[in-house]
Amino acid sequence: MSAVDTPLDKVPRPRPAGPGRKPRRFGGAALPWTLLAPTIGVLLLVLGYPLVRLVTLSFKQYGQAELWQGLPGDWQGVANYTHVLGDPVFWGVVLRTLLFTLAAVLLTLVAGMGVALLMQRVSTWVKALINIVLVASWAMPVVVAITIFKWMFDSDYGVLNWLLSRLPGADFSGHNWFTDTKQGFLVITLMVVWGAIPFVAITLHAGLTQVPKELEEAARMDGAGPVKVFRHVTLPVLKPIIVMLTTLSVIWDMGVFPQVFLMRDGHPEPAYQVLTTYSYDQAFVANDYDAGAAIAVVTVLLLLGVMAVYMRQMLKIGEVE
Amino acid sequence: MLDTAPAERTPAAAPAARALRRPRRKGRTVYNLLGLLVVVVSGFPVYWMLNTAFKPAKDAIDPDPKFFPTSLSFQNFSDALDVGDFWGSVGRSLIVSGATVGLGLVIGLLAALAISRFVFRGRKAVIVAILAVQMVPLVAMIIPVFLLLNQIDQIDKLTGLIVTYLTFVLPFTVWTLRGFIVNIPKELEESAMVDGCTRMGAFFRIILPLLAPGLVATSIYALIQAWNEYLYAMLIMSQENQTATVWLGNFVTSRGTDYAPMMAGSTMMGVPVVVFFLIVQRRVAAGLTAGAVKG
Amino acid sequence: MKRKLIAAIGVAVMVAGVAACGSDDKGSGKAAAPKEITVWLTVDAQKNWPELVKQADDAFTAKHKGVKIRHEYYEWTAKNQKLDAVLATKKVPDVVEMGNTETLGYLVKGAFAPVDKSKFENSGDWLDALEGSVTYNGKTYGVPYYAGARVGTWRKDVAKAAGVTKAPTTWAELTDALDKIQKKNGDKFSAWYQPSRDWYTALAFVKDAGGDVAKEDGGKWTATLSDPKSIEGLKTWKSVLDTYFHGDKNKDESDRYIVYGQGKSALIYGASWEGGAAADPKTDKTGKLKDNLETFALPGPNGDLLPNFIGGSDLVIPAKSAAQDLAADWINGFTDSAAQKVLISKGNLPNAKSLLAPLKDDPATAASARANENTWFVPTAPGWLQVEKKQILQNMLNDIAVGKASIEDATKAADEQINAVINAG
Repeated sequence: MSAVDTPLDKVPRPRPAGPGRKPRRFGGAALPWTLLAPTIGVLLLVLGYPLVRLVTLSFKQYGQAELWQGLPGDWQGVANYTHVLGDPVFWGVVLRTLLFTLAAVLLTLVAGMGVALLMQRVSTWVKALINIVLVASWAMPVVVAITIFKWMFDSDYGVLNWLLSRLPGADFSGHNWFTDTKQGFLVITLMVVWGAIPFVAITLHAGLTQVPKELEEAARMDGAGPVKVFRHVTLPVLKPIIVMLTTLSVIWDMGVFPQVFLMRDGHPEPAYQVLTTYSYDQAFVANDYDAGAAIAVVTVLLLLGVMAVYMRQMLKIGEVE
Repeated sequence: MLDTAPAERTPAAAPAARALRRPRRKGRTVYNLLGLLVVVVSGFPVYWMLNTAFKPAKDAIDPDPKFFPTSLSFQNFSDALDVGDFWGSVGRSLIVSGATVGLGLVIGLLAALAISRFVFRGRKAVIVAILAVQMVPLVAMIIPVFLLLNQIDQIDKLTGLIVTYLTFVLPFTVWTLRGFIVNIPKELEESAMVDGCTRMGAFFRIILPLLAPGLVATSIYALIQAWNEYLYAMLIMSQENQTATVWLGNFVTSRGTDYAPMMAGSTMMGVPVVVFFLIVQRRVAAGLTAGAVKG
Repeated sequence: MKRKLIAAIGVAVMVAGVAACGSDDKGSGKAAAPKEITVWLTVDAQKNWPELVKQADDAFTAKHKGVKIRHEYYEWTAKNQKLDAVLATKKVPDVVEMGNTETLGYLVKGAFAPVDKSKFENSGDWLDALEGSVTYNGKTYGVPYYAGARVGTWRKDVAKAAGVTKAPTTWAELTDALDKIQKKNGDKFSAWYQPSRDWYTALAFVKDAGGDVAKEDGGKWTATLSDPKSIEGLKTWKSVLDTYFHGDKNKDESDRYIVYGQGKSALIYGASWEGGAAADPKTDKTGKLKDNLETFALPGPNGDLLPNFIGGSDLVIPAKSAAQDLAADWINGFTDSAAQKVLISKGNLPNAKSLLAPLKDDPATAASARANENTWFVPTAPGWLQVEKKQILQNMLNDIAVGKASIEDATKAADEQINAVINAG
């Protein structure tokens, strides 16, 4: 089992570059910063600066009048925050968003990993088919995907109700999937997961190709079953990618917008509100841009809180280099 | 697609893998069946789009749905082309997506190298910052971004849209590429440099080929993001400079959704992405082989 | 010209900063002659009456040689979002189509420029529901474009099979006919397909019973849905749903014509175009709709016609527009009597009463023309748009229809929500 315990031994492992170690030959700090400059420049301009505005906005009184007349808006301190944080509706939305995110991320990763592993094991032609389907569904504009899902789940002319009604003893004609919020969120989660699987599966599959075959081979020779090989050989190699995919999935699923917004015809009922739609409602429905901004800021802080654990994990991986 | 892993291509690994797979034919059949299940379930919405696009518009909505077009019809496609400016919007989408993918890859790769191959003060802060900016819900940023673009006179300009999309895909690109670079042993390029390669040479000959899968994943991601983005395109661009996704919005009216031509339109919109994918896939195969030989 | 200038000064306070940027180079009070105008319409115009747009363009170009017209078409929800953003820039559209319940929220913030009413044809007798929506503090800020009425549409063949041979003219006749139809067709069938979220119809019952959404007292609006009369109206509405509507109670009215086309119901009460859309071969799955549809003005429980919600569109000129005169000229060509003729032919109501009168004699348009006899409109409160955008009424009706809340509780909750936003500008 030695090979299983130290899967990366055969691959020359990058040396830890701790503080005491001099990064050999790799110049000073000027080069990395030069390499980073374009990225940082773009991000500062189009995300950083608006982000600052978003934060200042949340402390102001800012509505349509201010927007149209180019007025700066009056400071109103933390009024938005005290109002938002003291609102039980808001906390309900937070809880709903977190639950949804948890379910969607878990499903996405498990299913994505399943598809990626499957792609390694199927015949070439099946793999080609899977690839085509993954890319085609990935390529489908979200607007169209939502239209199709809404249509498939329609109570009067949806294909799903029709199919289910073919089952013996089942009558789903006229069944509305959104009457019951649980069912509704099931549909929304399915759709989000469906949309996320191609990316996760393709990335994981690409990652799998980086897993040295000799390692898996050696582990098997040592008598490790497929589950053990996966756990002790494949997973450690994939870890950085999995951590990254989890992080991104959490961020994306917590920031899910069109899937909820358009599935509920552009006006989610209170029981369907998630953080983004709630913030959008405040900003664009109530035209209370400052309140919407405050909710967005709280969302970012919540995300940072949720992600703190993961970020530490990722930094740890980063330190291995 | 990425069935050309370096390990599989190395002469030593190939026979071993073959030997390994031989006794598991039965397993292969089960896997194939599972794979087909994935194809059916995951592909259903796509299939439904194609099915609707090709069947006569009058069959589009039916309480007894038709699973195959009774007669093949291209009427929906010509109907779709009659609405608005399809070719112009597709052209603009191509420009925007192409620029976003190209710039995103180059700029993002540089940054990814910086944070995964160099040790410098502030590196952690950069990593955290790049991750953190992704957490800002884009929906909430509409107004500030719009005001910014207005200030720098980039409203209704493709460059404004490109820069905006770049910020959407850059953090992701940097992160993903970093994940792939971390998995490439530094010794590989160091030994190449010992063998007389310049730093640049080592990068192009060793890292880049091994990064190919990562580059493909990120470029496809960036392409799809830019190609399918709706909200910002709708707000930033005027209609005569509109992109293809917004063009699709033409089929949603107060008198209901025009399903048939909309599906035809989105079928046509999917073509460039799939084509791009096919092209990239070949490049990857070639790059990987080259990498394996040199390494 | 002079009058126009004076009118323009009226909004100058708000636009001052922007206007200064635009006309600095000219120096004199007169702005440079604009070379183009931008017109925002909703997709309805693009889809259903493009020839009218062309007609207006031709008339305009004949008068103003060399001025280019740029058209942009938006879907309803996207339009306001985009308009909100674009109004923050210098490059604003010169003509914008607005729904008649959308305008007030913008008027109170000074977003639109006043227009000289006398310049427009038929401006003497514009429909009240439209004229009201462009009038603010006694001034006119837009031009009515067209209106839409609600009519009853039913299937003669289904009625006949149940032994009903003539369209009902009283509430008793209507319920009697529906009872027979419902009995004949079983409980999977909807004698009256009436989506619960369709608040235009639900509120018509409220109005019919003498209730209202909100009332004004000394400039302050208070929601009145939980008043006894409003509740009485909602009870009638609820009993209609319980008795005659056996479809999906969570849907809104946006796909009513599709469901109707599938032959699962006998009567719908909706916009006048919906019957025609359902009878289109694309949507008509029964093959019988085309020959068997009959439209009539729907009677209400109170003895009158059911109060009709007059929805419609206006054309406005943003206060920041640099080509307000040209914009007004284009609007004129797009809303004059000749234009209204085209709009009528597409199943719409004209913007003026004088044009409406002759329609009553034509059996094809009689039902919708009669709609104007008894109408209602939403409260003209500054925060009304938010009541609509927040879907307060729809959510309330949905809860009542599926039994999530009693009428009393649901209306009380809705009143609170409405009171919170209706007075805010």
